[in-house]
Amino acid sequence: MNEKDEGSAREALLPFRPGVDGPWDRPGAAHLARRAGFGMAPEVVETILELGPERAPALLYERKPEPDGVELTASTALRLGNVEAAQSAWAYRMLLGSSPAIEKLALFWHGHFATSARKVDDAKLMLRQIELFRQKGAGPFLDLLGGVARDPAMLVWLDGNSNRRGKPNENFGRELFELFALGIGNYTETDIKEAARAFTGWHVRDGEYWFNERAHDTGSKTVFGRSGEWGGDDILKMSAEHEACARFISGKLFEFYVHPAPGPELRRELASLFRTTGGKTGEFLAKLLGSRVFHSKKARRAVVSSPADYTVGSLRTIGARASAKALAKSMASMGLELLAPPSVKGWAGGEAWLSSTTLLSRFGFAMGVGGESDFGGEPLEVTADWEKVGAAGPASLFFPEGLPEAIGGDVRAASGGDARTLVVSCLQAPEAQYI
Amino acid sequence: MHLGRPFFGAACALFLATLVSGSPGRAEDPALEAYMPDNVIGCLRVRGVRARLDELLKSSALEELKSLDIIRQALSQGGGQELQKYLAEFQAATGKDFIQVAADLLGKEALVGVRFQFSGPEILIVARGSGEKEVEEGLASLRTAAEKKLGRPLEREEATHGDAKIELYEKGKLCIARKGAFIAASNSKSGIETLLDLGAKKSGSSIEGAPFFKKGSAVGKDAFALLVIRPSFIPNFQAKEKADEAGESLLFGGFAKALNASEVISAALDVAGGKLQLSAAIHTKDGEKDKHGATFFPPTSEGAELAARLRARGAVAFLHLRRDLSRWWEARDEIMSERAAGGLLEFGNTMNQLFGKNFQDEVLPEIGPDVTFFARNQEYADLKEKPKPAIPGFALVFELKSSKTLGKKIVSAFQALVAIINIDRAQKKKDEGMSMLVRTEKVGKYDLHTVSLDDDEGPPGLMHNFTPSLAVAGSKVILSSSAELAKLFLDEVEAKSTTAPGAAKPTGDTLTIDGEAVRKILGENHEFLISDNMVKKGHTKEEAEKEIGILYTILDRLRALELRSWRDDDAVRIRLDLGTKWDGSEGSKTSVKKAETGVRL
Repeated sequence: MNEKDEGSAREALLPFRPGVDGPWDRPGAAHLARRAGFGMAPEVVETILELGPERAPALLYERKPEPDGVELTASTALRLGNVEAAQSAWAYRMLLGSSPAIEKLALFWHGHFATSARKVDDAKLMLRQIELFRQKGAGPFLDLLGGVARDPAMLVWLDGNSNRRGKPNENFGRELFELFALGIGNYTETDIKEAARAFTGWHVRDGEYWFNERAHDTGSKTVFGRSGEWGGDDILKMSAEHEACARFISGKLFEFYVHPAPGPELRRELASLFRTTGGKTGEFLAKLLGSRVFHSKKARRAVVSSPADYTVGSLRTIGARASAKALAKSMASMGLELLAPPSVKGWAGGEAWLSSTTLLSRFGFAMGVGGESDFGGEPLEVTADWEKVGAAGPASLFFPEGLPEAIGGDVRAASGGDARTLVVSCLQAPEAQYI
Repeated sequence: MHLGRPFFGAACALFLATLVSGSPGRAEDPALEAYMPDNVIGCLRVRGVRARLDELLKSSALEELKSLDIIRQALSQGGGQELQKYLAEFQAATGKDFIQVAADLLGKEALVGVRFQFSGPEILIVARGSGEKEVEEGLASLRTAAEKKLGRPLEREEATHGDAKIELYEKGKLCIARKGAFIAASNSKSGIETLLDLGAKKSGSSIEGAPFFKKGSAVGKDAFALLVIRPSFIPNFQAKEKADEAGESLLFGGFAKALNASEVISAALDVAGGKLQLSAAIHTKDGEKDKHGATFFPPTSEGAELAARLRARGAVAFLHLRRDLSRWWEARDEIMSERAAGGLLEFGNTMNQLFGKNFQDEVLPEIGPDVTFFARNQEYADLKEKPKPAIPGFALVFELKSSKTLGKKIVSAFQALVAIINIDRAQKKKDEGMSMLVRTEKVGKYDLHTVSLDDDEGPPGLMHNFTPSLAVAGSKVILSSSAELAKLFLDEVEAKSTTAPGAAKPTGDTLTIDGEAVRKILGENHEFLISDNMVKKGHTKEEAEKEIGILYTILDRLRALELRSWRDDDAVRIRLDLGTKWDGSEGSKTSVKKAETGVRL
């Protein structure tokens, strides 16, 4: 990676200066809207534009009251207790909820602390886990880690109840170090084994976390070279304070929100920034999303849109509503099945979202938005004010930075000016696969 | 000329009128059938249009219908909006209400037939209007409106045929002859000449004496509307030979077969004081017995009193089928798609293992032909509060020809199934282990086997609606989602119920749905309906409330629905009876709130 493009790494993370580091304009505000949340709804872009690059990011992570409908669909899904209802309820919240940035962050943590309903087989537990990500996802990482370690869905997923004194199950210990907190190469096999002993007795009973004292190993353990009668919370604290943790988490957040593969120098600065905020993800993101590197040219359209960005983002951009059930199924056909990541590693993301199969699904979705077909699956039932969309200009809604003329000409030529057809053309353009 | 849509709109309005109007009385004039040639594909006859419209206009039902959100929505969008536009244009051009004009022209009786000629489809209409003056004025209004629409006078010629005068418009695209209150019309000159010749008994033969019409019209001689069709005259008329799904085949296979072997199909619609009756008949060709008739229409039963008692005990929905299941299974390759037949084979293999017997040869022949499915609201006496959602219990009852051999096998198959589910759950959720317990209790002289699920100390949820149960009571087997329903059934078997049977014995297939009970269930699960609507359609809560409110509005006006079908020597017959709130029964006197934002119980 050419670090010259970002200036010095330290400067890259300083606040973006409108008029100095670049213009503060509608494309910049739209860039923030679609990265932090889903899509570029005109009213959201306007608000961000008014607030400015420094104030806007922090406000995105303030929780607002949800519309009645969002709470109702969630509570109904809890009562029904089936995974499909839970997936639909979450898709509904992504589309119509009042805090898209918080939903996107919850989605990030869902992929990070990947837990699948296919094994957990309990929609209520899965929904509770997602709620945990909403409640604690923007707070201190250690708090989040503590919540996850006690989360019933996670305990079922990683066979917590098999972790007993004398016969420790290493699943959680391994994933804690490898995938959740530190990353590969920052621990030893012995650390894993010893950490597993510390988590013995962290069980689930009747759908709730239960500390099974009889199954807990109270003996001395040595983790990261330090010995003591460590319990699970001690291991969590050591993990969160490990120098690798800040680098690991901040790096993942950067790749998700800014662009893939930051260089080593930038990673160090990111870790330092993360530590400066006390490991508080929301504060870290507020600074990151207001930084010079975020608003650099390199960061624009640099991230492949996830199926959630593509589907929910498209609909929010044009102010449309759709069947949340169909939305959840569409995302699944594009490789993102909510509440069911393919493995404990979550989703690979990035270019892995784009394959011949998933592109076909994306284009089919685009046609469904335009009302041309329901592409053989659940009907999307899209409703939108097409006159308003037409008046605003779909191309400028989806590409506020403008399209290269050749592509723009093709988009307009393909559509004959009809708003729906223009929207379909925009969504099928290569640029629309990136946010 | 653009009169088709307004006529269609008028037909819809007049249909609404039939729901609330009483019977107009019989037409006393000579039959219009005497005018209709016997080479028509089919014909539609309506009677008493004027009288029914007058009753509707007098009744409060019209105001109520107009105030309904669903009607207002329908009239403000798409086809409804266009209809309103045409009616307004007609009113502006003629100073008359189109619905009234149409009712005057159709007046006492009207008959429409269609036949194919070399020049294309020929439409033949004869009608007896309200009176000579009304007919004259009505036709004049139609002319005026058409000319206004076209922006020019209609091209008009006159011709004579015998002593009748024919008016030809737009080069014969519409031909009309009139005598007093009688009208004949056609889209061709030869058509109208045929009508007039038949009326004068000059030449040709009419449907009045035609065997097909006699057969078809027997379904409802004095009905408000009667439709008789000869499917063999319709090009490419073919019902699906093979069903895509086993369930589809079981329910509808017989009708598809009958349609493909049919000579005449007829239907009659009538109204008796707010109750709608639709009768239909599919007459197969004389002497040609449908190969699978015995499969789908085994001989009708007389001993279905138990079924009638179950209905009287408050079934929300009741479905009784008579099928020769063994023959149906054997014929699966002929009557179902490969995929459906393959699915049945797989099901059969599983049943072989559960029963420890060959399902096709040893089990199925012992079952049937009566199969009853009923659903009933639950009372949840064993629970502290009603679960949310609260869904009706449902039960399947079938007959065993030899309960001694098969009865025990069915019980052990049930227990085996529970064991398999338990093992599967234990493998997936090791810590919860096996969680379904079968317990047996005596109800009267029969054993009731009930599966109890995990005790959940939280508020009762979806799973609390289910206590799967099985009982073998003499020759009857009941498999139920709820022990409560199974006990009710066993009560009836023992004839402990004091409720009188009441309803007529079903003689073939019967489906009944209690509209009020369905409305009650929906009301009790209002939140789930709203949430489901929101999720499926992306609606806000308010929008979902409005849409569900429309459903409530419809159901608030419906009473019971009964659909029966059976086969006699002559035809496969279907009869639908639908009660509405205007039928004068007790329930209909209750006032119903306007569905502004959805009606909730």
